Amino acid sequence: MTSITSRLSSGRRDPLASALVMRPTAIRRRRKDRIVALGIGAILSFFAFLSLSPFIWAMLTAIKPFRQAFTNPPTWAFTPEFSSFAQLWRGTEFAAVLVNTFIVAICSVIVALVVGAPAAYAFARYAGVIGPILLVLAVVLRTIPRFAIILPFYEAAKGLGIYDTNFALVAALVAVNMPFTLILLVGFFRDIPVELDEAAMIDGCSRFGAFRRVIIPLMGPGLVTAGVFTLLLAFQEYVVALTLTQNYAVTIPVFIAAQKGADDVSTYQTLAAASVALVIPVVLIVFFARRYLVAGIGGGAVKG
Amino acid sequence: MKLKHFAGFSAPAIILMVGLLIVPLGATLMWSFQNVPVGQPGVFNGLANYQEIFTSERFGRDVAFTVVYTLIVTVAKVIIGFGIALMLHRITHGRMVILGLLMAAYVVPTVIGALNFSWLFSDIFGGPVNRFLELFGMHINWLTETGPARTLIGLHAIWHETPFVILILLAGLQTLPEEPMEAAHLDGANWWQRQRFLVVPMLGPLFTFVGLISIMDSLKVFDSIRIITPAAGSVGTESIMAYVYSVALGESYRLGIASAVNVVTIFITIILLIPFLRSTWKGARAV
Repeated sequence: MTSITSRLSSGRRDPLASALVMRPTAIRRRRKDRIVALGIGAILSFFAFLSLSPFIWAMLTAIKPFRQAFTNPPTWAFTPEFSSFAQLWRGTEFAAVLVNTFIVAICSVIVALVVGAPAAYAFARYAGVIGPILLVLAVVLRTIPRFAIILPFYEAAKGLGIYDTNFALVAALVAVNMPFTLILLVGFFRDIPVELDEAAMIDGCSRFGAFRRVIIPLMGPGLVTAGVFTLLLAFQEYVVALTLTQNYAVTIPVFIAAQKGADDVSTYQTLAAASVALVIPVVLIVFFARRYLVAGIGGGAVKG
Repeated sequence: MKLKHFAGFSAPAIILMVGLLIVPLGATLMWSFQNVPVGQPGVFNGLANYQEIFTSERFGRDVAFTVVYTLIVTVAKVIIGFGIALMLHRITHGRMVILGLLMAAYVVPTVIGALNFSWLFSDIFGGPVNRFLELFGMHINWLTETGPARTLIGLHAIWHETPFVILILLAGLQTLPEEPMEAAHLDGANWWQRQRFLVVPMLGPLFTFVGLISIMDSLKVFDSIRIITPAAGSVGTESIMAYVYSVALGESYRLGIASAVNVVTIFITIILLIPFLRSTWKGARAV
């Protein structure tokens, strides 16, 4: 009997009970538990370091003096310089491309939310067959290859004379990301009880009034999550921007790939500087918004 | 909600999706039966495109590479991801901090991640991986030889996408009830047996979910290949989507062939999706 209680009490379920019936074996077990946890923590920290090592390496490359950056074996002792960041800012299109990428990404998020939120609300509330059919269709559309949509876009954009414009890029990004935004939002709308709509309508709201005055304010966190996610997707989209842009509407991934494609050692340090300049804000966003992001990744997790 | 309201609320999104997704998809389907030079209307040529891709040696190689890549990467991601999720579940202090650090590789734009990842393997500026291998007397040309380049593309995918598997499985682990674990523990089941006979079966649907997502993403791998091995065709790392890009916008402008490949890929994707579509359908009908 005592062995069972001590074994149960070491299970970390009830600290009070375990304190009361603490036996020497249980104390030893707890100490062992803590050592195991420390060991696992050390292994996980090592994995986290490995996972971040490409970014650390890029950082080192960016701040090394030119001669010391391209030695084999690598130079570890050097005086940091920041000239590659200055070169990135003044000597390349980076700043303009960055601004353009944000404009395009934000426009596509606004359109996706304005159009997607009412539709997601309708999908979450309507009891007929057509809603589920459209939702299944959205899942299918989310997973088909980008090129199946973008090659016709490319032809149409050339034909209409809007190739290499922000307008065509925003339209394509909205198209490609809309199913994802929709699926994510439907999940959030389903979590809001129907009784709230009904109460609002009994109090004299129209269907639209209930949506605008009651549901949308409650959807704040959901809209933020969907917005942040769609923004990240739009920001990092490569296939769409690669196909639809050439000079004027270029986005960051296309810019980076083109610089890399030049395959000239002198651009490597500016590329490293660009990586660092982009990775740090993204990592900070993820770090501070991780709760929102966890909900988003789990909720609408069909990547394209 | 009445049909009238449903139509009103969803009309803008439906019009947009029909105009910007269904219509282009229709064009892709139509082109797959046509010979389409860029900038000109297509000419119907029956199943010639399909016949060409199914008999093309190059496309066969690309499909074989993509399928093997998909299988290996998916299995590796699920095993490593589950291992790390179990470890994260075991610790309490610093769990969210480590999870946040691990997520960075997943959220950074693929193009940048692939570039920085491949630099670790590049000899131009003393990539640490070959310095480490030199301790064992090895030196590998990661970026130019077929075998190592394929391995590198796979390693990048594992580095980039495992955090997603960790996140989903960790969320699943945290919702598992504790009672069956304790019962099994009391009955003398050791750690391995508890994982094997309790945790893995209970997380079954989540394993299916991450596995499916991984398979569908991996079949469409493109961004990382384009960055790590720009000359994918000659290095031997050309995937199905790299083939599509090359045929349609790179070396030639044959939209018909590219569309036929896209149609085949869509077909395979939908078949793989069926279990997921059924659960989406049930979830939507349950409202």
